[in-house]
Amino acid sequence: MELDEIKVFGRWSTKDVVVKDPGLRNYINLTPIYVPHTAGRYTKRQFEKAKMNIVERLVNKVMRREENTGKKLKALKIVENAFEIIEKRTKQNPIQVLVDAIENAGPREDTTRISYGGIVYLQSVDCSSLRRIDVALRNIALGAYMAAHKSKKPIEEALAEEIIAAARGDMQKSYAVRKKEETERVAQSAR
Amino acid sequence: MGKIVITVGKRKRAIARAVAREGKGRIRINKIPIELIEPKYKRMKLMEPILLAGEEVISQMDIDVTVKGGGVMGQMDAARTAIGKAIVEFTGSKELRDKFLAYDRTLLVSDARRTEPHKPSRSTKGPRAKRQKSYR
Repeated sequence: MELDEIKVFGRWSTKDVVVKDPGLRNYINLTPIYVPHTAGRYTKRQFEKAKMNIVERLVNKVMRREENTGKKLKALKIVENAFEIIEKRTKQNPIQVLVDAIENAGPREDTTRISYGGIVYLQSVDCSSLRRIDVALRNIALGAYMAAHKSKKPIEEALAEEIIAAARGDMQKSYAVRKKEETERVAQSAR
Repeated sequence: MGKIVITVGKRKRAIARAVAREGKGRIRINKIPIELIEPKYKRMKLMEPILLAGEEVISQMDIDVTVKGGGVMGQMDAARTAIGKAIVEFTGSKELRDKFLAYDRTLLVSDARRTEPHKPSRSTKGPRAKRQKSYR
């Protein structure tokens, strides 16, 4: 098997996946990997996480909060099942859908607090590409978690719906996109 | 008796020893055929070097792996490294070696990170745990 024939989870190819946002291209890593489970190899240095496959980064975000904490195999299963659902519903490569979701869910502008003479106010700042991806992934995973928590809906379905809605930029259904719009709105008024 | 290659893979506290012989593609981990290993992602991870090498290469050899120490995932990674090294050394193929290195370096090089030792003078609870400091 050649290197570029490797498919994520043995099912989905990253060869044809396109990152439309040029700012994110260098930080969404699509190197083919069979099982996105590399055991903490990219944690030693700043910006190393840009070398981690984007699917694994999503798995790592799903692998948090209460009953999921530290359970990588469980998170892998959740993500794989979610991808299967995405594929059935959208008839597209789920990795492409995930990339679209990240593009739509990452805020381009944010605010930071500045103190001047005892007064604290918000100053608008640009977001770096890596932070955009970090925030997008975090909010996607968090939105899925909140949708599935104390609910009959399974986490796989919640995650699939969240990713599909984010890929469409749907503010009504996607927690991540809603969060992004809110962040950008606050930043706009703080310029 | 034909050619025999013995390689070692390590990960945290796990040590895997692989013995490669002439054969027809049977691979066993602690006497369990690789196709039967659970859970699924562990099996997929172990299959990586085999898929990369390709069927015609694998069908020349049998590999027996013995893994000791560490945990489930540590043993998985150690066995994977041992298998990767065994395949490359048995075939003697530079092309295969380059391919493995390009895909994932830990297929041929054991991960140098080791389990952190406890420090009992600080706390008996774990490597990073500490007793709370009290000044008075």
